[in-house]
Amino acid sequence: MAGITSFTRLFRWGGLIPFVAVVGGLWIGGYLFADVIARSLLQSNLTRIQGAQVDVGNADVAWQPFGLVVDDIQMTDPNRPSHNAVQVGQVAMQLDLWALLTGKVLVESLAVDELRFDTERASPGRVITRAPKPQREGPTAAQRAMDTVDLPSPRDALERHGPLETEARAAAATATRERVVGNVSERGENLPDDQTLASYRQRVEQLQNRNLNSLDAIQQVRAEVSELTAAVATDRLAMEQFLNSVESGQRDIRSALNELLAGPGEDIAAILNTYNLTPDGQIALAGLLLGEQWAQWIEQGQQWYATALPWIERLLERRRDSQQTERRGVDSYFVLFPEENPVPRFWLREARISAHTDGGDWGGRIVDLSSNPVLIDRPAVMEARSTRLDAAEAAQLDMIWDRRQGNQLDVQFNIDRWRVSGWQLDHDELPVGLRSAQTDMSLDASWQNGWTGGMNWQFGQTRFGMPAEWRSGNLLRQALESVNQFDVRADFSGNAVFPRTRWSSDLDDRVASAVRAAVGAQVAEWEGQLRAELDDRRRELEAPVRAELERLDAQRVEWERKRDALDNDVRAALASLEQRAVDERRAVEQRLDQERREAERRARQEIENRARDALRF
Amino acid sequence: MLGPFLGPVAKLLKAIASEAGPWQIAWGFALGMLLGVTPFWLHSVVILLLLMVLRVNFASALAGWALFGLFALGLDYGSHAVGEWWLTHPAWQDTWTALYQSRALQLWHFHNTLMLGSWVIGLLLLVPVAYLAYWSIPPLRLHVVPVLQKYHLLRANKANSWYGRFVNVWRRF
Repeated sequence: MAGITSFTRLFRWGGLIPFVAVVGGLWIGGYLFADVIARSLLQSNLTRIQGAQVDVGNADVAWQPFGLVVDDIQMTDPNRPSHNAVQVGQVAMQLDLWALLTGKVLVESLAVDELRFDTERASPGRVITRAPKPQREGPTAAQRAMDTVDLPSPRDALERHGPLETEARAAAATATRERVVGNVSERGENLPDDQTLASYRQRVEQLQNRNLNSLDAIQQVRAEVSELTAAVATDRLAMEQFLNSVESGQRDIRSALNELLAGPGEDIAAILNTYNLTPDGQIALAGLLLGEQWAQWIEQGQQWYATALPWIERLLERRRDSQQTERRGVDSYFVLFPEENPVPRFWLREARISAHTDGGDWGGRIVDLSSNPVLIDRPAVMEARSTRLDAAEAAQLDMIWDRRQGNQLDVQFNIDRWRVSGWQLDHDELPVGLRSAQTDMSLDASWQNGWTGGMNWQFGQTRFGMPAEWRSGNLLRQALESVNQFDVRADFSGNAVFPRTRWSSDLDDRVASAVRAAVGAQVAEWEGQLRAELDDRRRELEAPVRAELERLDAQRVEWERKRDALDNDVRAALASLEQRAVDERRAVEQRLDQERREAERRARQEIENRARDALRF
Repeated sequence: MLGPFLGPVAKLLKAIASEAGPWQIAWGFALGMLLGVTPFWLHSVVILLLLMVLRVNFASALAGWALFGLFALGLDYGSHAVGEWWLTHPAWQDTWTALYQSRALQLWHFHNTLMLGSWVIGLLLLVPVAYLAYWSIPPLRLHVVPVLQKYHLLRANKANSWYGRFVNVWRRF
């Protein structure tokens, strides 16, 4: 009895009443105010995630079946508080309550209707954190290139170009001329004058008239011939040296003149290059112009990708199949064990989305997006179809994300007959535009340990243009207007963190060709004017050099004639005189020898006669 | 800065100063500790039910809940580690798998690392905390309470607070 009493004293059964009152009160309060609580939680959490005010019009929690319907979600754009980044008309989801209570999120259905972007707000939203906006500094590469497109007058172009090669070479030619003149003058000082040359002829004539009838006379003539030959040889050497210096000087002057003649050509090439009007420069210019848009798109894409990257990494990562909880900041999780009908921690069976964009209306579907596709043995399928497009016939996106074996994502995106208009192909300050075009785009990419695939973009019926008030780029305008089709190809590679896109296009080639065709005639005319201007300057600069060359040539001809005359009139005569003296000497010696022998014979005869007479006696 | 601590301490001291038995105060404090170290979930409702129907001191339970709720901010990392170790221990997989087959048991979140670990620590601390509290009450009543009463620190118009009204109503049962 005592035990029963003490056991009874252990309890105060009356405490059940306040317990039921408190728990029941909480239950009823939760039931009654679930909508308000859900709306408040949604607003505060979405605002924290978005970094700007998020308004939720109404939230309705349904208990049987368990679900939530949220109306009119407006998410302020942190960079433009007067507008919503996203506005959703209604989100309705149906959840498995039992799964939710056991740590799993099983979304039976999700419908997102009236999704709109960039809508105007009734009043500006509060911004908590503003996303940094990338700023461009300084002129773009294309702008710098375009600044050089307009052609100045040839004279202005020459003035702006700075020191010309033609002028530098003319100065060099003048220096060469002066050096040659100095050398030639120095050599000219040793030349014989005309009187000396005449005296040589006179002396030769005198010697020729000499009577060579004795050895002494011959000896005398030979001595004089030798003396005269030596004098002539000295003067001839001087003449030869002079002629050599003249010829060498002429060679130097001609070389400098040739350099000078090539100067305008090099100046023209340099000027054309400065104005990007050489063939390479034209291609580079077109590449810069049209590459700017691709660069912007890539930059924009990379920004979007960077924003989405944490989500992508989270989804691509093969996490343990667990449910994160955020209580007190500890990464606790639910450990899942084998069961008869296993359910992944997260499973979106089907979602339906309808969106309205500036370009048209879209409908989309996501099926079987789960944290563990192996458990449900199905890949996630995402698809979007255009239901109405302003500027294209049709567009569709298909994605299959299969993580049953590894991690594979296949993406296909097509746009048919997209009528493009008013695309800015460059920076605001350089309003080059793709005025209109029709294009088919197809993208086929796969992810499996890296991105592979590519995108083809075929543009036709293209019309480029620039505003008429834009003062620069008339030549380019003509070129762009003549291009009516081009292709663009992008190849994807790299991993999830660092995707790579390699763009290629025949647009640059086509524009470069068109630039050459459109600009060619004008450039040729301009080049002709430039060349004429430079040739005038060259002629002016080369005139004294050419005059010197002609003077040297005349000197050379004159002294060659004198040298030849000396050779023919004097040296030949002296040689002949020498030979004659030799011949005469030989003849005199023969005669003397004959006379000697005759005298000896006669003497011998006389002696013999005298001896015979003596013997007779 | 000490504000969050002073409220629960004051409640505990008032409970000690009251005429409640030492075991009532000690077990109330221990059950409150269990509420504090474990995440709030269905079991919390059951512990609240026990606090209501058992003759334990409710004020000390609230003090224990608040004090160990703060203490759990640092204890959670250890609780999570203990729970993870146990749930992923190969020798226990069959047991957990068997328990996991019951969706009713899943509802108690025994397969959550933090929940299991905090339960383990809470249950291990339950009896020691109760005994520690029991042994601490007489010296506190002898030395601390008179001093506090001397300086009127434990006087409060309980009847004017919501808590006091609730306790007054409760005492009629």
